[in-house]
Amino acid sequence: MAAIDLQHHGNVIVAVLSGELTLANAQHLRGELEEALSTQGVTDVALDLAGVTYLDSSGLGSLIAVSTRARASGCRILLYRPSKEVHKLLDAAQLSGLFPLLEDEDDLLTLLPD
Amino acid sequence: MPYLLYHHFDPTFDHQNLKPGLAVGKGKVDHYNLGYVQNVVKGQVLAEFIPIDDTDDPVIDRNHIFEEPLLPVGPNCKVDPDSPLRVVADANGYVFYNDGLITVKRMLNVRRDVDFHTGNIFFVSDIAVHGDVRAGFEVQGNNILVKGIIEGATVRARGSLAVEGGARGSGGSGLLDAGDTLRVPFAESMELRAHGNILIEKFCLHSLVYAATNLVVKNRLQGGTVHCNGLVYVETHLGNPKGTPTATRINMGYDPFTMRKLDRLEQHIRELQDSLTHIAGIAGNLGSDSAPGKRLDNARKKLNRLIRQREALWAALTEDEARAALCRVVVPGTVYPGVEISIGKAFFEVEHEMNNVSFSLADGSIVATSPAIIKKKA
Repeated sequence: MAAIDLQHHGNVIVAVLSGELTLANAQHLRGELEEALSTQGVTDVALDLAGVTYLDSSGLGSLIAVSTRARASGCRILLYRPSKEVHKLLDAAQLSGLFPLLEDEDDLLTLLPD
Repeated sequence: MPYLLYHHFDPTFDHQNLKPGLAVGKGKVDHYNLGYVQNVVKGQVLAEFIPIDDTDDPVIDRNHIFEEPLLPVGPNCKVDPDSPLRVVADANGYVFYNDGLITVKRMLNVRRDVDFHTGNIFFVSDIAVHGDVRAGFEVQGNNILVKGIIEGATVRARGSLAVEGGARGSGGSGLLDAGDTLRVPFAESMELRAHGNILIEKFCLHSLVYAATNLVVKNRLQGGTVHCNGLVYVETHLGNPKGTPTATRINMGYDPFTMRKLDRLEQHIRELQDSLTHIAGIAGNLGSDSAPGKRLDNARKKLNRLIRQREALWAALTEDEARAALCRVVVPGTVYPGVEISIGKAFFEVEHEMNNVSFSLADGSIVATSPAIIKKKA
């Protein structure tokens, strides 16, 4: 089961995800993230995936659905610290490059407001 | 026992009848993002049968209640090997109902212009746009073919991008970005990026070009800046025959995308330095515990991080310098005065018209040799 912790930094939200992201919680996660996207003035949501232990196709599908929804709001969904497994899944699904990536803390801090 | 077919997508979605979305937090209707397709990825659960007792529940759509759990499995879908009551996608694509079957299409054909009727298009697989992509709109997909013209729009392909009509920027906007090869008949006032080769069949005017490998222009390359790390081949005309109102610059020998990152970083550092001056003025003699003091402290830390990142990028670029020896600018036609060529640290400015020449690095300097192409003897 995945947990989500939302941290607000001005126009950027860092969503810290942990646990497994699968069909069982994809809907819940999608709802939480879509609510976060509706926050006034938000331009970027960085999904911190360092604590995600497993991601299946339905989990990935929910991230894509959220990303599509985000674009409809003029926002971006970025993947922060995706694990090797997440990179492999994106490669296998031919979806590398679909999400902007923040590989480390420096990348994230560059994104955060001054 | 009756079964409810529970959908993990909107079974009523109709891309022919899109409705504008509300730009969240901005209080306005967004005609640019209509959600043209419902993306799914291979293995994603699309629908599942759930046994139910109460078929009179008003929340349940009666059209989705069945006596027998016969899954409506269409093309590019399959029954989940781990659960016989679930349908999963068997390919990346978009999902919809076709003749009562859940169907996934791998290829998205947009049989019209990308404009206010379609909104921006964001797709997980391949796209063919049969019309133009209008100013201000964006198309993103895997391999992309655009049959019409791109007018001040953004098209990003994770694979190859082919444009049959041409590309023209407007008001500083207009981007073609390809993860692999980019092919376009002409480009004017555009930004072009490709991690593979770029082939321009006619002309490239006043554009900013990043080509990770080779750039081939069949007719004219005039104005703008090219960053390329292989071969630049211009068949007929390089530069401006009427003088040098706008220079044509070619930078080679460094990874174009690291250069681009560096340019953006430099800009960010400049902006932050300006901002620091402003924050320092506000903070004045207030202590570091005050809000402006903390902001000043954070901004300084951020500036230091950016400067470290810049140093790391420069180091990576320096490691790439051996690559410069392999770079060439080849022009069987004419090169006009005002063209500037950099290969690694060497620089060459064309002062007189030259014909049938090739530019490359020799002993740390750029030399021009003729003929441009040396044919091997049989």
